[in-house]
Amino acid sequence: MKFKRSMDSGSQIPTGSMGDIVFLLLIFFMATTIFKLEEGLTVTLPRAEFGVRVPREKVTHVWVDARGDITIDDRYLTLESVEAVLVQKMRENPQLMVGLNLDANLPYDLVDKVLMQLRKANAINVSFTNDVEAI
Amino acid sequence: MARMRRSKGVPPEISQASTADIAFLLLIFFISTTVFETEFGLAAVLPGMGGKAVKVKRDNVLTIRAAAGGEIYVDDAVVGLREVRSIIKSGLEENENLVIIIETDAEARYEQMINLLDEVKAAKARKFSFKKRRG
Repeated sequence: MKFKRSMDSGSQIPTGSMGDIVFLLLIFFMATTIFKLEEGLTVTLPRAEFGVRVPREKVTHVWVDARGDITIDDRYLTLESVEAVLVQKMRENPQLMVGLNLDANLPYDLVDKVLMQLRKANAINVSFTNDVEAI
Repeated sequence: MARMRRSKGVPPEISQASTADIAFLLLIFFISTTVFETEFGLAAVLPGMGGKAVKVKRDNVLTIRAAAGGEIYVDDAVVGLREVRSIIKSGLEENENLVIIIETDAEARYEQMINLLDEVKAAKARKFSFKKRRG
C-alpha cells in the first residue's frame, strides 16, 4: 500500500478555541485563588451603630478573645509583649492605626491594660472594631 | 481497502466573535459578586505617654459610668442607655468645651463601654476620655 505524504502546509492547530481555553483558565484561577488573610481569633464583636468605615489595609489588628488570648498577625502574645511588637510596627509606619478586635464579654480591666500597652508604644490612633449587625 | 481521501474543504472554524461578549459577561459576574470585606470601628485617639496630663475644669466634665452590674450612672443617677445620647447632646449645647469621661468599672464588660462610646459618637462629641474605676 502506498501512502502519499501530503505536500500541503503542515497541519494547523485550530486557534478558535484558544479564547475558551483562556477563559477556562481564568475561571479556574478565580475560583481557586485564596487571598492571604489574617485569621485572627474568634471574637464576638460588640455592636455599635456609629462606627465609621476603616481602611483595612492601613490597620494592624490586635485580637483579644473571650478567654483573654491576644494575637497580632496571628501570633499569640502575652500582654506585656504587645508593647514591643507595636513599637516595632510603629517604627515601620508611624501613621499606624490599631484596630482592636476585642470580645464583647471581656472585662474592662483587661481592655484597659491593652490600651495601656498601646499608649506605651505610642500607638495612639485606635479603632474599636465593632459589628454593625445585631447579634 | 477503500481509499480515504482527506476532504479538501475549508476546516471548520469556531466563531470568535462572541469571546468579547463572554469576557464581559464574566467580568460583570465577578464584579457583581465580589464582596469586599469592610470593617467598621469607633475611632479614638489615646493620650500618649509623653504628653502632660490635660487639666480640665470640673464644669467642663461630664462623667458617664458603666457599672459592673450593667447600670449607667450620670452624676450618681441611674439612666437608661437611650437617655445618654440626649444628655450628652444637651450638655454640648450648653457648653461646647464639654469633655465626656467614660468611666468603666474594672469588672464591667467591654460591650458596656462600647455602648457608651457609641452614644458619645452619636451625640457627635469630639472630646472624650476613658477611665477605669477600680472595683
